[in-house]
Amino acid sequence: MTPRQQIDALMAGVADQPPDIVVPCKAVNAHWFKILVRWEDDLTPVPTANFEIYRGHPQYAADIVAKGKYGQKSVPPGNYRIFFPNIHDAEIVEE
Amino acid sequence: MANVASSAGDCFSRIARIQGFFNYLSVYNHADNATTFPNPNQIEEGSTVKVPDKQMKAFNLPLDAEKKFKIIRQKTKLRIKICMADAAQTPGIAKARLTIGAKKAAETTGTLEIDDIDPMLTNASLTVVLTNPPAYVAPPPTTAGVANQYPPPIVAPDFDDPKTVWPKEGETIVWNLQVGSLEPHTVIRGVLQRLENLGFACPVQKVEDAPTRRAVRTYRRFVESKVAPNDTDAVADIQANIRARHDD
Repeated sequence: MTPRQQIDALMAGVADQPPDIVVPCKAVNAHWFKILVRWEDDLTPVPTANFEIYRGHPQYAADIVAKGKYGQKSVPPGNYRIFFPNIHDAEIVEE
Repeated sequence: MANVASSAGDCFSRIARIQGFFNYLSVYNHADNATTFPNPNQIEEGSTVKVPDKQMKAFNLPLDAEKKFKIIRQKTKLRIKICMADAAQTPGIAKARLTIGAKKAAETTGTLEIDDIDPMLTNASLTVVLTNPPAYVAPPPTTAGVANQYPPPIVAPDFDDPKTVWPKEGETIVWNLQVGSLEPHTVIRGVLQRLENLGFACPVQKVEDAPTRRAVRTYRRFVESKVAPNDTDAVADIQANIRARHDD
């Protein structure tokens, strides 16, 4: 199964529209996220790495981490998932 | 799972990189690769390597936070050890320089190492500047052979020429290295490659013929002091010996 088929299969059961984040007081509609990708052995930034981000089922963004960093502002609330289509699952871990 | 036929210069680091893996162990530990290829740096040309399909993993991406990932890679190293033909001593070296791609290492000892080379590179260059030429030492007389035999048996000292011109002090020797192209000692090409590396001229091929048998006979006489009629000339006869002499 290709990485594309695997991503599609994993996302097949996800709802089209994710539930908004429930906050007790004032709802914040503009969020941000930042992605850092480093080598495990010397902790230096990875030059480039493709990624795909999904908000619910639809794809929200597909871009490249450059020099180990990627960030985005004004992100609408929701549940996000990220894939690295070019990286084998045994070769990437969360810090 | 994909099957990849190896070509000249392939090792597991190179195959893994071509297939998009950062760690050669992701490929080497897959299926029966580790059993089929005991040494991940020595692959017989044309053999089949089994490459796993990439598995995808989904990570949750929290908002208003930094999400950190680490990629596990295995760097490819190149290590060169310079020694005399009998592997027992290190020649007098004023300077040794190893170059592969844009990376270089320079030492005054007999061991050079470069970390994190590009596994796609298959050519390197080794330059050695000598200090003192090795003094000629006549080999001890051998007792091998049978008296009054005609023709007289060829013995080890017959190959040593006292008039040998050794490199002079300050002389530079340059070797072009074919990185990753050494095949296992268990196949004919692998043994012939090692013979050639040790200075026993022979064609590197997949079949045995007269020139390869001649090289094997010469090696056995030189290294093992085997004389006729005990000096068999099949490649299989020197597999273990030449692996120990060349690889260790």
